[in-house]
Amino acid sequence: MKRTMFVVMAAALWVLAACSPVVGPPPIAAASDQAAAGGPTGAAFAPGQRVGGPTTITARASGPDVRWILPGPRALDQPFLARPPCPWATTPIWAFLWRCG
Amino acid sequence: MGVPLEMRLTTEDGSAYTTTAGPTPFPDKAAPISGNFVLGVVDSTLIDGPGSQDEAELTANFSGPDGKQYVVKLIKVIPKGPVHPFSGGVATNIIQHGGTGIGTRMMPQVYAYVAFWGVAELSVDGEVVASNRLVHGMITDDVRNENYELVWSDAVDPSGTQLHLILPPMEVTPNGPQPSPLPTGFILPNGVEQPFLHIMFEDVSME
Repeated sequence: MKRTMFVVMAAALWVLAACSPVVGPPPIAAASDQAAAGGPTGAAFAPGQRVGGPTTITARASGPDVRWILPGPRALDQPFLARPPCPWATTPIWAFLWRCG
Repeated sequence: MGVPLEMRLTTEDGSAYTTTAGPTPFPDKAAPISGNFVLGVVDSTLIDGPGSQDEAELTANFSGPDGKQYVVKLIKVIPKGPVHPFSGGVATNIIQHGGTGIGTRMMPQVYAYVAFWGVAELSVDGEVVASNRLVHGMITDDVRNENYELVWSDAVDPSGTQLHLILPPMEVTPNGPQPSPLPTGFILPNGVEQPFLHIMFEDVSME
């Protein structure tokens, strides 16, 4: 019995080793990965560094379609915060997980 | 939304939140006024820092609900954000607010064609009343519905464009932004002077 178990475990380990990734050159990093790591040269972005070309925008509006926002309460996200009634005999942990009250 | 629990109102049975307990600059209430603005930006720098080469010019003229005349003039951009990045002072093609960590979560998450942060001068009826005020402006998709209610992130309308111009109750000092009521001169029905400006220009054209 012990011998059978040993053989089975050895076979399982062999299968796992055979299926593991082959060691080789690292994958080519995506541009976003390079940026996160500090750019392709490895140098971190410096404060104030220019990146790409400048973007110039001119915008304007004129007329009566303008609003002055008055102070007031901000509505809160009802669907997200609302807690429906819990089913009968719900334990507190399930009430928390189901977001019922 | 990031509002502390003690600053929320609930329904009578306490089963749901309704609104913030106090007033904010992000309600559904607005008064129609008229005005114009011209904004020009050069977004050269992505990362905050004193060497930012971002530039912006803004002049906004508008009337108040009581007929006073207001002028907001941008003096300079702020190249480094004290709480979140300012993208060097000017940002283009970014997503802000909502859950982005850039700006208040009371605004829905919204695409901005351009945004800037800076120091502004405020004039009321031809008199300069402040010259060190924090200002944030952004041109975004439409965040208000046909009743002018501020929508949630999933209802932002990309078919419209708006300029949001806000001067919060903050002044810019050598030690950074400090709380300070904006001297708007506009008296609310409760007798209190409105301590901020939040102006919305619709139908913005860009080139």
